[in-house]
Amino acid sequence: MIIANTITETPVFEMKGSVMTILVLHIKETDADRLYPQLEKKMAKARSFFNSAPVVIDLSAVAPEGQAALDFVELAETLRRLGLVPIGVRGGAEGQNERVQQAGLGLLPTVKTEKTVAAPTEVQSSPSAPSQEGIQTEPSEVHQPEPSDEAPPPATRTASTKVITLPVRSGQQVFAPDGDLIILSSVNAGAEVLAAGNIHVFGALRGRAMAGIHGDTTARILSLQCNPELVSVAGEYAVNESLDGAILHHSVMVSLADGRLKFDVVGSFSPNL
Amino acid sequence: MNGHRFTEKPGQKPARVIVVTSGKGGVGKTTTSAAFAAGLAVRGYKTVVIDFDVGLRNLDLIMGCERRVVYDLLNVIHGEGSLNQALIKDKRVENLYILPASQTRDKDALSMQGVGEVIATLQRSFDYIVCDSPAGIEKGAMTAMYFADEALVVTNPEVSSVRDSDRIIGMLASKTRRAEQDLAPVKEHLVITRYDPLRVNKGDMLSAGDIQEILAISFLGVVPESKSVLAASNSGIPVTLTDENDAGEAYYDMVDRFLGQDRPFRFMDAPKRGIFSRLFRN
Repeated sequence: MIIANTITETPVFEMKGSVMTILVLHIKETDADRLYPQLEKKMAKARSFFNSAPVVIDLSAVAPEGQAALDFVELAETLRRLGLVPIGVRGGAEGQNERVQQAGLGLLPTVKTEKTVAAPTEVQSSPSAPSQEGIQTEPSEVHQPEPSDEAPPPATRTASTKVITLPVRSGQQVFAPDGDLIILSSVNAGAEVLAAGNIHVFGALRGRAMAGIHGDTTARILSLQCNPELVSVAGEYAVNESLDGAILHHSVMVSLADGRLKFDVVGSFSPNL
Repeated sequence: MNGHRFTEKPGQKPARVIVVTSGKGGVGKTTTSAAFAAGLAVRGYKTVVIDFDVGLRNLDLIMGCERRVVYDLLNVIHGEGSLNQALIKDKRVENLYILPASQTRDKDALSMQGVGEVIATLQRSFDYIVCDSPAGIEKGAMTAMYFADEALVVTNPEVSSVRDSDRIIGMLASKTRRAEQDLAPVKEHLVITRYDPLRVNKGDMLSAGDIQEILAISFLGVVPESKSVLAASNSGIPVTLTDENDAGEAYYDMVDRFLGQDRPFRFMDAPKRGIFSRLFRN
């Protein structure tokens, strides 16, 4: 009897994080009698432009009562009927998450800064109308391979950096979901710091540090005094016991090279009391 | 007869609430609560010390009033006795009162609101309220720290105690009334107990400097490892009320520093021994 050996099976897929640009539908009011007719009118003007475009629904401008009154299933179906592909909701109030998920939509984190670009004038008939009350559609960035007219300038999403000034104490967890994390103090044993980007500890790193958690293999961890319980970059990790004694307590940069963790001493450090 | 206990002095500042906490058990919280409260009372401040360790009460033993307990904190919270009836006046020091914990009830019987009301009432007629916290990070400890204005973080010079103190400091910064209402944060003071400079020099024990570097809070002082502590506990006398001894002196230094006075840090260096004491040391 042959038992499948799952331990040595080669993986047939990889899950990685990626930065993308996408159309965002900023909703201002959720009154169904005004929202849907206006949406249909707008989409009718630029059918080919918006055809099969993935779109994120942004609710940050809508009050919680307005969000509670919004039927997410109806909104998703209307958008699909108009040719859009709604993939998720951003800026939803607490308490709406379950209804969003029941409508088959994902939940996206709010973004602190983003650059927006005006819709290209490829839109037929009238030029882009002044934003009508109720809806506002702006491409956050447009990547359409349009043969005609101008290609809109590519905009980049600036990732925010989280800065912590007090020591991260045992049992605490600090998470920077977009971008870098800067700790202007120590990370104590039993604490965890995580970031999508790099982690900079201007003190002693005695706890756990995990950089590049969404899969960014270029992420690094820098600390003035390196003695971590565990470090990880994009999933590759090492515990304290497996670290080379020569690098401990020095100022170290941890990075990923050829899929393995690399530790570079960048200086020495002595705490002054 | 009971009326004199609650003379509300008009225009008086409300009492400062000090929690004595640590996370780790057995480091000297109750010893410190008793000694510190007694020290404040001796210095002339009207002080009450409250035991928050429901079910494992020790403060009444350390204060020597275990044979006079009628009502306790939980009785007061549940309206079964008045605060006046529960407060026990210390027989040795003017200005010193004790509010014992319940021994028979469960810690779940503690209610945050009830404790808040008791503390608010006490604040009107005392200068300092010392809250003796139980070990751990459960309801008893969280309730003891919730209303604090200041905290004495009691730490042994030993790795697990330092780790637990770090945890509790994190909670003082986030799970207290001051943190939740965005007021000025709880002022934390590091108290290192059972300190032995000889072992520190040998490298067996963490030094005060090492501990300060990890915990990064204001340093109040060290209490040396002392035989007087056990003797005092067993006699039911706070170590600041017994005959002159090193631990008692250390606590008085800390009380004075706490009250704003300058005191040189004693008991941090190994005593210099002459040749004869080295020859004949036990």
